[in-house]
Order: sequence, then C-alpha cells, then structure tokens
Amino acid sequence: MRVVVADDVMLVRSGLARLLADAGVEIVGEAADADDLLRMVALDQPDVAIVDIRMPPTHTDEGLVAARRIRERYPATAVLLLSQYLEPRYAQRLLADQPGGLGYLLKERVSEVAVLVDALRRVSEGECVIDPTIVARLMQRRRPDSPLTLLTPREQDILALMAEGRSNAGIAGELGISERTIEAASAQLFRKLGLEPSPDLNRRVLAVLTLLRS
Amino acid sequence: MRGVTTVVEAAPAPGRDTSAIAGALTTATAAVTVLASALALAGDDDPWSVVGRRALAWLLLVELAAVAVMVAGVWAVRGQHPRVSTALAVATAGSLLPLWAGWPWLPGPARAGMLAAAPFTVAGVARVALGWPTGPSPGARRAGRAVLVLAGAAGLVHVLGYNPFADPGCARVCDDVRPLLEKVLATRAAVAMTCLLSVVAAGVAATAVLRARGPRAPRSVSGVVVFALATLAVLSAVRWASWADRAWLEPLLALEVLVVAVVGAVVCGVMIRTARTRAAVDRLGLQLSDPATAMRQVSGAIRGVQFAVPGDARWVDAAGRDVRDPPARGRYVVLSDPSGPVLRLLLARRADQGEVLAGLTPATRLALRNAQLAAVATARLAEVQASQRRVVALSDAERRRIERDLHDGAQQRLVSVAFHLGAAMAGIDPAAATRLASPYARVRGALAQLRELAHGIFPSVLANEGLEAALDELATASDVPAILDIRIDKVVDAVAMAAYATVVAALESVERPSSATRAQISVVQDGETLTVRVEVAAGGASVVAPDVTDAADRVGALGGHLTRSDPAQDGTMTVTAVIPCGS
Repeated sequence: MRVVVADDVMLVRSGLARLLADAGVEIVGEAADADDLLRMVALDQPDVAIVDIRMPPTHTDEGLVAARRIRERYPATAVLLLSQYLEPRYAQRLLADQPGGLGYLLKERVSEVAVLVDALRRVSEGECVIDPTIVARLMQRRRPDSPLTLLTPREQDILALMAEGRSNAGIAGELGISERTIEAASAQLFRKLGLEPSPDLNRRVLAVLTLLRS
Repeated sequence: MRGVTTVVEAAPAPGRDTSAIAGALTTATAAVTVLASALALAGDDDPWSVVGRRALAWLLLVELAAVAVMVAGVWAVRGQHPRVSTALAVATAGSLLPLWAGWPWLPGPARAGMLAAAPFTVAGVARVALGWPTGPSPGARRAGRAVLVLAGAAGLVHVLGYNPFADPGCARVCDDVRPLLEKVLATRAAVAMTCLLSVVAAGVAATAVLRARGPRAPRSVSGVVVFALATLAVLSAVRWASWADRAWLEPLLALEVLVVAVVGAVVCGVMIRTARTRAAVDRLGLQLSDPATAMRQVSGAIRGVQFAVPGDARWVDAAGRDVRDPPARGRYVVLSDPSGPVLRLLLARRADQGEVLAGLTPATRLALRNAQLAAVATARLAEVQASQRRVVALSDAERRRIERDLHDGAQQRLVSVAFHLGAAMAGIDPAAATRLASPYARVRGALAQLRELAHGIFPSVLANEGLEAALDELATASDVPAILDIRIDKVVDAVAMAAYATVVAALESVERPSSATRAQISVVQDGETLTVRVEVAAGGASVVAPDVTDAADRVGALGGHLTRSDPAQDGTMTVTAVIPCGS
C-alpha cells in the first residue's frame, strides 16, 4: 500500500512514517502543509493520504479542506484524517457528503500499529472508519427527534461498531454473539433507519451517515 | 474659554422689585404728557408757536405711538426682568419730562427742572442693556453705576446752572427762573456741561455694552441700545451746537422720545421671542426627562445638549456617548456651576445666546442637571464595561495562547512518544511488548487528559468554527441530552464567548443526570440582541444553582444581563442571558 503522510509537526510526521514503514507500508511522501500534500497526491497517486486536520497557516481546518479536494479530484486516493481534538463536527462536515473512502481517527489511537494498518486498509477499500471515542460521543447525543432513538441498545452497539469500521465478524467477536445474529440485527437496523436493500457496504456507509447526521 | 459661560444661579438674587412703581409712574407721566399735548393742541393758547399747529398735531400722533410702545416695553419686560423694566421706565420718563417744560400752567421752577431729566434718558437706556439679568459682569455693573452718576451730575449741573430765560430755545415759552449758581455758571456753560456729561455717559455706556464679556443682553437689545446711546450723544452735541437757534429745542426733545420708543419696541420684540425660546427650552427639559426621545426632536433655538464629564476634559451626549467634534465657535452656550462646566446648549444658526439663557427656568435647569447626571453615569458605566471587556478579552487571549502551547508542545511530543512506543512494540517479541503496554497505556491516558484540559482552558472550536458549532459540540459532549435551537447570524467573539459560558454554566447545574434529564438550549439573535435561554429539567436528578459568575461577568461586560431562576421543586431551572450584539 502506498501512503502519503501530512502533518506540520516533524516529530509526529516522522513517528508516523517510522510506524508505517515498520509495518511494511510504503511511504511515498511526507508533507508539512496542505499545498505539499496536494502536490504529492497529484504526483504519486497514493492509495491513502494520512492528513492532520490542523495545519498551517491557520491551524483550523486546512487538512479538512485538502481532504475534500483529494476526494473530489483523485477518487482513487482514500483519506485518513488525524486529529488531536474530539471534533465530531469536522468528521460530520466531511463525511456527511460522501463517507466512503474516508476515515477519522484520533492521533493517539493510530499509535497502535494494528489499528492504523487496519484503518488504512478499510478506507482504501472504500469503507468509512470513525474513531470509537467520536462514535461514542455521537451515540451519546440523544436527540429526541433522531431515528437512533428507535434502535434497541443492541442495535446501537452494532451501529457504533459499524461506524468504527468493524466487519460483521469483528462486531460478532466484540459483542460475543454469532455472525448470523449480527446479520439479522443489521437488517433490522437498516430497516429502522429507512435504508433500502442494496450492497451491504453501501448500506453500512449510509447507516453511519445517519449516525453522523443525527 | 471659547464659548460663553454663565454661572447657573440657584435662585435669582432677592431684591426689592421697584419695577411696578417705576412702571406706574412712567405710565402716569406718559398719560399726562399725551393729555397735556392734546390739550395744548386743542386750546386757543398755542404754547409752541415756533412749530405750527399742524406740525404739533403730527408731533402729537408720533408722541402717542412712541409713548404706547415705551409703556408696552416697560410692562412686557416687567415680569421677567424687573431691572430692565425699571431702566426702560427711567429712560421713558427722562425723554418725556422735558416736554413739560413748555406748559405754562406748571410753575416756572418745575418747568425748568423738567429739562434736567433729559440726561437720565441716557442712564436708563444704558441700563436696559447692562442690567439684563443673564448675569451681568462686574465691569458692566461698574459701568452702569458710572453712567448713573454722570447722568445725576448732568442733571444737578442743569438744575443749578440753567436759566431758561437765558436759553434762546426756551426763552419764548419759559419763565425766568433764577438758578442757584447763576453768578458762577452761565446758562450756556451749564447746558454745555450737561451735554458733555451726557455724551460722556453715553460713550461709557456704549463701550461697556459692546465690550461685555460672557453672557449679555440679546444681540438685538445690545444693538439698539448702542444705537440709541449714539443717537442721544449726537442729539446732545446738536443741542449744544445749536444753542442760538431757537427752532431746535422741541424737535430734539421729540427725537429723544422716538429713540427711547425704538428701544422699547425692540424690548417688546425680544420678549415675544423669549416667550417662544422659553417654550423650546421647556420642551427640551421635558424631552431630557425621557431619555428615549431625548435630543431627537429639539427644535427652535436649541439644536442639542452636550454634557461635561466632571474631572474629565470631554463631553458626552444624552446617551453618554463621547462627542468628538466641538461645536462651531459662538454657536453654543456653556452652563457652569462652581465646580466647572455642566453642559452646553448647541444653538441654531440664528439663535441668540442671551435669549436662550433668559429662557432657562429653574425647573429646566434642574431637568438639564438631572440629564447631565444621567448622561455622565451612562458614560462612566460604558467606561467600566469597556475596561471589563478588555480584561475578559485579555484573559481569553491568554487562555487561547496556553491552549495552543499545550497543543503545539506537550501534546505533539506525547503523540510522537506514542508513535515510537507503538513502533517499538510492533517490532519486538510479545513478552517484551507486554512490558511496554503499561507505559504505552499511560501515555495514551495522558494524551486524553491533556486534550480535555486544553479544551477546558479554551474551547478552540468556538474560535475556529463559531458559536453554533461550539454549542453543538458542547451539547454532544455534555451528559445532559440537549435540544438546540440556534438562530444566529454572525456574532463577535466576545458575544459568542459570553453565550457559550452561559450555556456551560447552565448545563453544569445538573449534578448526576438521569435518563430523563433534558435541557432546552435556545440562542436567538433578534436584530441587535442575542438571547440565550437554557431550561434544564432535571427529571429526577438533583439540580443545584449553577455558578454563573464567569458568564455573568462576560455578559455584564457587554452591557447585557444574566438571570438565573432558583431550582424549582420539580427540578427545573432556567438561565437567561440577554446580550447586546450590535456593533
């Protein structure tokens, strides 16, 4: 897998690159700001771009803007956004349009190399990965008018794990129930959220979208 | 001092009002003069054969009109300016009494004495301007006294040294009266001295009127008085110069009457205008007692009011706002008290400072004084709020800097440590990796804590994405499920921070939220007001009165107010902040 890393802090950038290199991921470029990043993506067409949300000059949402541009211009390049903050709104803003091929993780989470590599693989396959802490925040938001209120606690757990990018097998393992039960529960969940039958991946993404938009 | 200053007197100086007596005497004098002239015209005996019967008839008509105007002036001004009324009465009497000199039915010495009243015309006319009650300066008072002394001296010289029989102008109609000083002072010399003293008195008076500093009589009054004094001086000079020509005396006396009549007419006109100005000033007082409409509809002579801030060389308007541009020179009047200027009235282009000052009643002054206190209090409050805003802004800037430092420094280093630990753990055997698991977990725990800490110091989402995003995140992160109703345009940072702090304080009132706990957060911008309202329904959880100090400070600094209901029995509580968010 070919990856570009963009973070304005050299320590973080090099740490991340080292982590990925050790895990056998090919680093094709390291960018210190959004312009660098876009140039490298245009040049190398990597599979995934790992992007820090806050980059110079304003340290607000430069990474977010760059991520959106990458997804528009280079659909083959997935984007994994990294943030040090719990900013569900950033995730919402970006993912609410087109969650496929996008991930949003807290920096401390990706120091776990298995999690990072797994997330990279998932986003490059067109899935959507959201940090569990942020998912927990979103689930916690019990808006009275949200369709999420229709879900049973079990279905809510399944949706949260879906949002984290887990497969049915992963969810089954996490909850300690059979994969078959998960499939049945997911179908029920999709129906409650008003999602028509369609390829499973697409529906999973749409379910996460419902969560983000709630 | 560029403007015109007057001392706001607490009350008019008490004194005997002699204007009624003076007015009555003058009216009587005028009546007798007119009556006598009419009788003289009707009678066979023509006392003034020098002028023809027809001329006498015209003279009578003019005299009648002049007398009417003079008496009207005396009475018109009496109520407000008794001293001016008395002065005008003296001038009127001084100009009319000499006419009696020609009437044969008066005893000789009395007729001769009547001519001695003429110099008092000058004194009376002068004091019409110098005695205007808007605060005569000491110089004007001295000049007024000097003119009276000069007129008295002229009259005395006349009485002592004038032999009417020796006066060609009077010889035909006057009895021979032997004056006391006949031996020492020739009649001609007495007349010359009288005329000279009158001219000097007129000169002194005119100079005093023209050079008067500070508040003075209305311009029209000063102007007509100077004109009258000049004319009287010229008439005196002519009287002396035309000594030998007997045809001159009567027309001169008649002209003096006319001159005083002009002064009386102007005084009448000024009093009519003053009544209008006074009405305008009264309206001003009324408007100032109602700050909402204050100064919007000031009409007439007064265009506006500005208030002095005591101990501060600046002026504010009725709403307490700083006045940047000073008013045009001479187009305003400053009212002061012993501690300094109180306020200044801005005048319309043609308004007269003297008239405006004359229009100030004690009640209006009180209203103006109250308006000053209110305006100054508002201005001072604005200063305090501005200083409070600066303190809050400074503290926010500092907190933001600390938050950035944490993010750019400690957090990044910890993240990098976590990466390196992660890499190390991936590359070594599981047994060694297990030993690294604990420090790794601690680093991640420290990162999570640091993140919460940085967010608590300053919610960067508020600065980066605005109030709506920040409240949304706050509601998301809060343990209390909240319904948001946010309808805002763009608000400045300080207002956003105040609204945010209000919501934070309100949500913290729930100690241990239950599943039934709800919060309703509404933030609505309506024109220039942002209303933040948070209703918390505890739903079984305990609700405490939240600590709203920080929020209240922020809201107060912006000129708004924050109210908090005490937690009710049913566990509901409301915090409301109304924040002005206009520019």
